[in-house]
Formats: sequence, structure tokens, C-alpha cells
Amino acid sequence: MSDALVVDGLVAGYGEVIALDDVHVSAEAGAITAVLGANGAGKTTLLRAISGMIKPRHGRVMLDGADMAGRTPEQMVRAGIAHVPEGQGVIAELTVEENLRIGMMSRRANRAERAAALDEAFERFRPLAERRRKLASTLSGGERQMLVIARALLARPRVLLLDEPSLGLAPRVMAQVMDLVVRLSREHGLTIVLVEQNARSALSVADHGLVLNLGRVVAAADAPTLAADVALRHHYLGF
Amino acid sequence: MVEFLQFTLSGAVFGMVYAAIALSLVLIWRGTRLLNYAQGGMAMFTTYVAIEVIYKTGSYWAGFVIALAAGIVLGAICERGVVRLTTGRPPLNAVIVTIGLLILLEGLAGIFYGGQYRSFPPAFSIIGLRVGHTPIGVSRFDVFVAAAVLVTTLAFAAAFRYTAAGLRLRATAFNPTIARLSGIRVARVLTVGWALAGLLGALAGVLVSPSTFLYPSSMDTIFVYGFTAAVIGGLESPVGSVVGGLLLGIVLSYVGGYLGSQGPDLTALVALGILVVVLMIRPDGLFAGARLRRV
Amino acid sequence: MSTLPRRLATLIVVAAIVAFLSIKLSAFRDYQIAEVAYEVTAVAGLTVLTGLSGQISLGHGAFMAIGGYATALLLMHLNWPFVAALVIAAAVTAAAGAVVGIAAARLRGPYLAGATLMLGVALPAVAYAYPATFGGDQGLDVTFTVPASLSNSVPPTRWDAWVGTTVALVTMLLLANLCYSRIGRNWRAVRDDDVAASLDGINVAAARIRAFVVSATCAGVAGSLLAIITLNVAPGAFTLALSISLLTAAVIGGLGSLPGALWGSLLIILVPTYATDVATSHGLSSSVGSNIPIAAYGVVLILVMLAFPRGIQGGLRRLVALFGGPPGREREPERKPIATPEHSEKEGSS
Repeated sequence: MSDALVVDGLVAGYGEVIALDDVHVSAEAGAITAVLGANGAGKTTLLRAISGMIKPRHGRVMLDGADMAGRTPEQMVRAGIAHVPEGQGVIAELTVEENLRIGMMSRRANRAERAAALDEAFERFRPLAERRRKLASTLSGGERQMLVIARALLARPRVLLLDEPSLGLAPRVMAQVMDLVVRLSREHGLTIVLVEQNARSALSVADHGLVLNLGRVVAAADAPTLAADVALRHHYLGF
Repeated sequence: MVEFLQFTLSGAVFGMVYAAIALSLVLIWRGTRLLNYAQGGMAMFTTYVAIEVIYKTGSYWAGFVIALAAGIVLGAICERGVVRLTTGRPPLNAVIVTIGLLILLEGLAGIFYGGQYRSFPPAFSIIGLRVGHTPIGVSRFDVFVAAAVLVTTLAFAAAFRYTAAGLRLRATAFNPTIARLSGIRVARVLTVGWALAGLLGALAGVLVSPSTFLYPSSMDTIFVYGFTAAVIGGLESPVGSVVGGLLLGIVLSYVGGYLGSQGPDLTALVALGILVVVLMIRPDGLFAGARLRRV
Repeated sequence: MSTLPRRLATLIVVAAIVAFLSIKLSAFRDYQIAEVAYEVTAVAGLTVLTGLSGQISLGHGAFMAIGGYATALLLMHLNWPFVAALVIAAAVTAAAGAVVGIAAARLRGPYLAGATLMLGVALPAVAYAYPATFGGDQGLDVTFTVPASLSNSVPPTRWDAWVGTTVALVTMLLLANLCYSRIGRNWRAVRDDDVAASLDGINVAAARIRAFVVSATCAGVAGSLLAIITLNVAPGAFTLALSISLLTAAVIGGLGSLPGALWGSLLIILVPTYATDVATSHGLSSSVGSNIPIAAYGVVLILVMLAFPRGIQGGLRRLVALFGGPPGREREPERKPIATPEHSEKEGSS
């Protein structure tokens, strides 16, 4: 299968410090690629560089072969790369429905289409439907994560970048989120790049994986291979 | 008792003008985290445009509408042309740039329109209205002033709440990062925010100029009191702007009215006093929400 | 790094240059030197307040007014020598600075800006409200003459320039010492992260108030100089425009930088004069002619601010570094592979 997203020779950083050095990523279309590594390894920076939140110093980001160099996050979304950032992904001061509507702002759609898309989102994510008109600040952690993913999906992306979607969630809720991620990939053919601190659970759902350490890629293979490499796991992944 | 009513009502009218300026400042603050020190200057300039139109066409309403349109355009130009260039720089740079804009606008007004005081026509009669035989301290024009600001404020509030464009503005104000990641063209939204602020300022300008006359620095004091109203109300709160404006306008009206000849000189001090009292109790203004400091 | 001998040397060089210029240039230029002297005194204090301790003030003209009026009243009613009046005026202004600083200690960014803006407008208005004491619109006239021993060789404008420059340089020296001391370091710590600073044991409120007192005192001293140089104190000398121009000078010169205070003061005094000269020499009609300098000044502010984001001093530093001079406080950028994304989102500023 071809690669939907290719990152080639990426160098990125903040101010004087280089956070990513010559990073290469190939995300197969329709598959889940996990990005693993310890805190500070550069995982979040990688997603930010892909979605345009920070400008890479060198290297290319290619979506279906087209170079996405220099695009702003707004343009990236319209091109089909949706980024769900780590931590506070919802706009707490807006209602659940308003948060979802924002997700549709990158698309050209008339009122009927938007209403239909909203209904579909509420169908898929029942708990959100119940809290439709409530402020996003009243949602629990798991519900917020659901809202953030639902919003990203409304942009009809080709590639979904998920940054620690299970961060701070209870184990049961974490499992539900992972479940959701798998279904998105299998049922909808979404290409997913998943950053996860919890390498074990990430590798259990991913098709491919790559391990970052201090801004460099130290390993890239399919998930079962990485999971089987005990030395690698001990050294970089903490299990 | 009648005096009290007169002072209260006429103070409320001025208060609405302060509220309009305050609202324009809050709009820009929430959208871009900048204080637009040129707001008064922009209002002055658009009022000059209005008066030229009025002279040439003989129609007040043509001038009124053109002023508002000019406010929109001027706001957009200032943001796109100048203020945008300060993003990512130290925050005080934008302060100096808007001050530079203010000075530039005052200079341009002097060049194009001359520096003498000009009188600006009111939309309606300024003869005091009466209930029975008692004058109540406001005229038809004053009622128009209050109503115009109120209607505009409510229209903006409705637009923010119920339209997609309003949602974009709010999202950008609350969380520009997430707004961008959702595909909102934040840059465009900011321009719109400044354009709307320009409209509000232009409105304030045409409404207050009949009382203050028009000259290049005529809006400076109004700006200071509008800014004060915004601070009293809390820079995050449009409701606060209106409350702050009314509070300031009414109290200052009492000072000017009851304190006789010393009154006008003490208005600034009283305003300072109100400001200090409010900020001592609520350092972020009356309607500040709880803001968590990100440690 | 600057040390006391180095600072004294710089001071002496500058004093010598100014003395030389004051003799060679016309009386009007001497007057301008004196103007720059009192501007610098005020701007230096403000740049320390805003640049080092992170507190904005849009009303420092009020402190200048306090210093100016105090000096005028002391000279007028008590006939004190200038130095004595200067010291008392500074003390009075320091007290005012403490009051304002205490009130302002809890205020942040735009709220502090709003409060100080109103202060700058309201305080001079007191002079109108009590015309008997403060002379109302006309203000108070000040008598200040060259000492008898020098009155034959030194014209008044030159003497003013010397007095002004001396006071300004002494103030800058004291400020420099303060900035590099523990007090100055505390200010920077408080500015950058006051929560961390207080966890470090720094009394944040005290540091902030101290900064206000110091900067207000500088402004008071500047006001005192203004009184003896312009020979008059009136509300019209302490307008909102003055307060705004002080902040403008501080930022454009280079926030937090003492040399920056000088560049900024030079710019705000010389550019309008130069622009007016150009306009008059072209014989433009009065309303156009008197407004072009204003518009031009606004444009200059915008352009300089956009071209030099770190102010003129910042621009000079870059220029020096470009030509291979010592990079100053900037280190060479290193390629370090480790980074955690900085989650530092500062709140917006006024």
C-alpha cells in the first residue's frame, strides 16, 4: 500500500534548540503508525511540524506526494491533515455543539450538509449528543477527548494526527479511546499517526511504529516487530 | 430630585459613548490581546470623513453611514497594514505602533481637514425633552445616542452568538491555536475584529462630536474615559464595558453637576478614584471571570 | 560586563562630550541638550520600571508634575537653593511613587496601563482645581539663575544644559548600579515569572513597589529639572502626551536599557523639531505645515518600531555583532538535540 504521509529529513526546533534531527516517517495509507519514545524525545514536536504549528528548518512533509512546505495550520487542515493536540483540545468556553461546528469550518458545506454531519457525529458519539448544549468545560476527561476527535473528524481529514489521546484518562476510558482509534482506521480508512507515552497500548493497536530518542529515529518497523524487541522496549519504551 | 434625574440621564448618555469605545477596545483585546491606543484617533478621523460628506451632500445620514463604513475600512487597514507586522514581537512594540498610528492619524486629519474646531451636527433636535413642564436633562438626540449604541451592541452580541462568523471570532478569541487547527483562518478573523471595532469607534465619534466639537485631538479624552470604562468592567467582558461606561458617565455627571465650578476639573480625579476602588477589589475588573494562571 | 569604574569612565566621556557641544552649539541647541537631559532622567526610570520589573506606566508625567510643582513651590516660597529643592522634590515624588506602587502591586498589564493612564490625566488637573496654590492655567513661574561667579562666562542656556546633564548622568549612574545589584536581579526575576520568583523567596510585592518608587523618583527629579529649565510649571507642561512620549522613548530606545533611554529621548525631541524645520523651510501653509511634522513623527515611530523590534539599542547591538564585535549577552546558537516543547504561553500584554 502506498504512503499517505511522508516526512523526510525533518529538522525542527524551538529558538536555539533543535528538537528533531533528520527525522523520517512513512505513514501507510489507512494504517495506524505509532510514534513512541520517552518524554522530551520530540514526539509532540514532530506532530506540530507536520501540521504547520511550527515551521521546520529543513526537510519535507508530503501528503500523497504533494509537498506541504510552509503551509499554515489552517491550510493543512484544508489539505486534509487534522491535528488533535495534546492536553486541552476543546474550547472550554464554547458549547459541545459549537466546538463541533468549528470542526466544520475548513469545509465548504451548505447548511443541510452541516446539519447532517452534526447529526452523524452525535450518532456516533452518543455521550456528546446528551451534552449538546452544555459548555465543553463541563465534560469529563474522556468525553473531552471524544469531543476533540469528533471535531477533528468533521473536517473530513485524510490523515489524523493524535497526540497522546489517552493522557490523563482512567484505564477503562483509555481503552475506549484506543478502540475508537482502531475503528476509525479500519472502518473509515483514515491514516492515523498516533503519539503515545504508553507504548504498550499503542503497539497493541498500531500497524507500524517508530521510536524517537533525543530527536532522532532509533527504530522504525511494523508494530509486532517492535513489540517483540525486548532490548528496544527496555531501553526506550519503558516496558 | 429633578436635578438628580437630569444628571443621571445625561450621564447615562455620555456613558453609552464611553461604552462604545470600551466595547471596541474589548473586542480587539479579546481577539488579539492588544490594546488599540489609536481607537480614539480612528474615531476622530472617520468623523472628519463624515463631516466632509455631510457638507458636500447636505445629508446627515449619508455622512453617518459613510462614517461607519469608513470605520470598518480603517480598522481593517490598520490591522492588515500595520498591526499585523507586530505579531511575534515583544508586546509593548504593538503599543508603540498603535500610538504611532494615533499620532499619524491626528497629523493627517490636521493636514487634510485643518486644525480648527469644527462643529458637528446632531442627528436630531438637541432641545431638552420635557415631561409635563419639567426638563428631564436629555434631548431627542441624546435618546438617539443611547439607542444607537444599545442597538449596535445587541446586534453584535446576537451576531457573535448566532452566526458562523461570530463563532469564528469567539473561537479565535478563546483559543487561537485550536481555532487554527480547526481550519479557521485566524488572520482574517482578526481583521474582521478590528473592522468591527473601527465601526464601533466611528459610531462613538459621530455620536459624541456634536457635544465636543471636532478637532484632531477631540477624541483623546473620550478615549481615556472609554479605556477606563473597559478596565472597570473588565477587558474580557462586553457586559462590563456597558456597565463600566454607564457607571463612569453617571458618576462623572454628578460630579460635574453638583460640584459647581470645581466640578469639571475634578472629573478626572473622581474617575481615577472609581478606577482605584474597583481595581483594589477586583484587579481584573468588575466582570472578570476566574482566570487560572498557567504555572 | 559593566562595572563601576567602567561606568564612571563612560560618564566622564559623555559629560566631556556634552560640555564640548554646549560650548560649540547655539543657545537653542543648548536648550535642547537640557531638554534631552530631563527627558532621559524620566525615561531612564521608566525603562527600568517597565523593562526590568515588567510594570507598565502610562502616567509618569504625573510624577514629573509632582517633582516640578514641588520644586517650584520650594523655590518660590522658601527660596531654597536648587539642590535642596531637588532633594525634597525627589523625596516627595518617591512617597507618591510608593503610594501608587502599593496600589498597583496587584494590577497586571492592561489594567495597570488603564490605571496609570488615568493617573497621568487626573493629577495635573489638580492644579486647575486649586488655582490659588498652583497657579491654575498659567502655573507657577520659576526663577533660576546662573551663579554669580559664572554669570559672565556662562550663558543661562549653557548652565541649564550643564546642570541638567549632571543630574541626568548621576541618576543614570545610580540606576545602573541598582540594575546590576541584587535588587535589579530580583526585578528581572519578578518580571519573568513572579510565581517562580516568590517560590525563590523574593518578596514580589516589595520588589514591584520598590521599582515604582525608584522610577517615580527619577521622574520627580526630571520634573524638577523641567521646572528650572523652562522656568515655569503649568498643567500644560504635563499632559497625557508627555506621559505617552516617555513610554514611547523607553520602548523605542530599547526597553530596559539605559543607553536606550538616551536614544529614545533624542528621537522624541529631535525628530519633531527636525520635521518642523523641514516643513517651515518649504513654506507650507500653516495648517498643513504644522501637521506634517506630526504625521511624519507618527510614521517614524511606526517604522522604527517595526524595523527594530528590540528598540534602537537592540538594533545597535545587532549591528555591532554583525561586524564581528562581541556578541554581548547573546550566545552562539547551539545545535542541541534535546528539547521539550515550551508550554509557556504568556498572557497578552497591553
